[in-house]
This record gives sequence, C-alpha cells and structure tokens, in this order.
Amino acid sequence: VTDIAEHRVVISGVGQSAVGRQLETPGLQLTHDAILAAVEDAGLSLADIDGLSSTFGLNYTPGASDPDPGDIAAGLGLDLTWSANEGNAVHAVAAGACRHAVVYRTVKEGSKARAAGGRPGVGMDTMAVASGRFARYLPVGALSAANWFALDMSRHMHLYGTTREQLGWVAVTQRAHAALNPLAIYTDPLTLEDYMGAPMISSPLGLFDCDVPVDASTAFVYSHADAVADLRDPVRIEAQGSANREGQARVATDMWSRTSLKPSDVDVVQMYDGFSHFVLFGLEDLGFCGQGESGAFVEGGKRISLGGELPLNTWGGQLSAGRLHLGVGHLAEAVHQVRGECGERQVIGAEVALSGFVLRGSTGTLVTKAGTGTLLTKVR
Amino acid sequence: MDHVAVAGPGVIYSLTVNHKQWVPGMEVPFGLAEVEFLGCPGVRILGRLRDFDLASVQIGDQVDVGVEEGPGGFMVPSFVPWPTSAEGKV
Repeated sequence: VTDIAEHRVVISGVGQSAVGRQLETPGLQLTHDAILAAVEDAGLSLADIDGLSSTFGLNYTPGASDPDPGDIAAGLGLDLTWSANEGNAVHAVAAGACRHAVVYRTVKEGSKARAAGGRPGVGMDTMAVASGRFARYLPVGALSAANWFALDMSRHMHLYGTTREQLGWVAVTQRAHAALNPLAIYTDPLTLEDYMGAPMISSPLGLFDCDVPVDASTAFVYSHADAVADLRDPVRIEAQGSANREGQARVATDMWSRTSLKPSDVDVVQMYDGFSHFVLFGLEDLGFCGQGESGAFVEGGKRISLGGELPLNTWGGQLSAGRLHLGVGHLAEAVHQVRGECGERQVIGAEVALSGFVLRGSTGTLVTKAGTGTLLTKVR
Repeated sequence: MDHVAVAGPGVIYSLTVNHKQWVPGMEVPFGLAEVEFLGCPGVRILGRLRDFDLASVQIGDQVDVGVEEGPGGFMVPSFVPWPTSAEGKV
C-alpha cells in the first residue's frame, strides 16, 4: 500500500462526558457534552465542524444510545458538508468530503440495566423475530454476549492450556490502573483471589471478566493534516486497519501492512476488553506474542502494568473504567498517552500507542460492523 | 445453499455453562455447546446440552442430536450423550 489515506488525517480532539453507572442526564445531552469538549480540546469552535458521524451503530445492544446525526447537527447548529451513521470519518476527511469531522458514541447501558432489574439479555427487546446471528443464539437461551464469547475462551483453554488464573491478571492489572484514572468506575484494589472467588457468569468467564455497563458519551474530532497549525495538540494516525466480520487477525495484517513500525515499536496498548479474554486474543493476533502464548504473557501482570514492557489498558479498560463501547475509550486513552497528558498513569516517553478494537469468534461472528486497529504517533 | 443431512456422532468443539438468569423464569445453570459433525468441516451447531453432567462434560465429548421443546412450544436445538457410551464419553 502506497497511498495511506490516514496520513492525510489527524485526531485533533477528544471529549468525554460524565461517566457513571447511572446518570440522570439524557443521552442527547451527554453527546453534546462530549462533542463540545472534543471541539474545545482540538482548539476549534463549532463553526469549524463540517463533518459528523455516529460511531458504528450497533444499536441492538440494550442501552446503546447514539443520537441520530441529524438531531445533533440541529441541536448544535452545525453547518455540515458530510454526515453519516456508522461513517468512517478518517476516509471522509482524507477524501475531502469535510475538513473537521466529529465522531461520537453514546451509551445508556447502565440505566438500561437498572431499569431491567439486572443486565438484560441482548436482542430480546430490540427485534420481534430472531434473525441473523440471533437466530442461532436466542432459541437456545444464549441471551448474552458472555455466552457467545465464553465459547471462544473455552476453546483457547482446550487448545493451549490457558488457565483462569492467567486470564485473571488482565482484570487485576487493569483495576490497578483504574485507581489512577479519576473517571474510572471501580478503583478499589482487586486481587487474584477476589477474581477467582467471584460468581461464574458463563464458564469460564466470571464476574470480573465482564465489562461494566455505564452511561456516557465519547467524541473525537478528525481533522485534515494540512490544518495542524490551527490545532491545539493533534495526533498522527500512523496506520489504521479495518475488517468487516473477518476478525482481528485480518485487522492486524491490514494495519501492519500500512506502516514500517512493528509490534516492538509500540510503547502502550489499549486493547478492547468487552470481556477480559479479548485482550489475550488481541495480544496474539496483533503480534505481541505467538498464538496460544497470551496466557503466559499476562501471567503475574508485571509485563502489562505501568512500568512494564507493554503497559496495557492504562485507563482501566472497560472492565474497571466503564463500557464506553466500541473502542472509543481505548482510542481516547491512546491519544492522551501519546500527548503525554495522563498524569499518574502516563507511560513515560510514550510515542507510539496502539488502540485495538478487534474481535474474533469461533462462533464466526463479530459484534461490530468494523474491527479497527489504530496506531498513533506524535505529529511533531 | 441447500440443506444437508448430517449423521452422528457430533463432537463438542467448545462449550460453556451459563449461570446467570438473563430473563425471568430462565432455569440455570445450563450447558451450551458448539458441535461439529464428521464430513462437515467448519459447520458448528449451537445447542443446549441435555442429560450431561455439567461438571464433567468437556470439549471432544461425543453427542447425539436431541431436539427438545422449549418455551412457547418452539423446538430447541439440543444435544444428548452419544448412546454407545453410557457416560457420553469415548
């Protein structure tokens, strides 16, 4: 690949609304808050924004609350030349469809869980007849993503001898990182004994393998690279890989083919953790260890801790800091790390950050339209 | 695409035991397995495990198809131990 579209684009702004288990604030207001924060962070004003997209849709999950871009544009008085549901803002900016594009993801999954008296099954109230992948899941009572993805971890344990104790170090390490994140949901120390003693949800996945549903909105501004002089602290998109349903091994191949950097050049990794074992699979497929080696890679937690050779999910991840969903929390942290604005949890000298939003499934499904791997570096 | 008949035994490719009640009235725990059949590479059927000891069932165990009636009278894809082995093992 010689024409790297993402090199014509920078991430100029990141905005985060309040994050809480349940917030009274409506999703539309949270989204406004996040967008306004992102635009300010970019050093821009609303008058500069001419592109707008929700993230990846995926609105069948109970509590997914992306407002329609038309409503956001009307509410904020935006004058747009490009808008989309599930659009790729990087490509839109690179192609000249707009110059400064806002992307947002909004969730009210925490409130939804409270209203249902517990975390609700997926698909039950959002489709009249089970279709697509849900035709497999719903009739047999596989009403949670925990069921679908537990199958993948069972298989990994069978093939490679990976243990629950090894997997537990993901949750334990990320909890320690969350203690350094003022926006995190859970900050009390978590021990491996706590992890092993927690209720089983869908074996081998226990309570602390599951992320925590929250109410929140996260927004980004993507700007054209020729505008960097106007921007407060833009971050370069070194390479972005995308895949549709083929999973993260394909994402990784695509991403690494677009850069001369290698896994050993990465200073900090934010890996999607809807469930803890996604981190293991991500480490393997993105080339940080061999297939089947991820259990040993994270065991003991030292390697993936702040100060270790590959600090991972330094914001606490979705397991402890909240299910912002679809990798937006991971991408935000990657930007903050490369900018060097993470305070106590800053990885010293971080110049290359990887945000991996990538899934694979022995069930042959991805829960997202597009898996992406994004490699960020300093602009200057 | 066409429907193709498969013959047992099926082999458990992966499994999970669900412990959480996702909707009122759901009986837990229950086992779920992905099952492969000889001559059908890459095709995996998801179903309930029925008449298995959930503490000892494991990947590689052989199963027979045992569709059962579920909520609302709908038939639920299910698997039972392969009959040639009393314990469902080979």
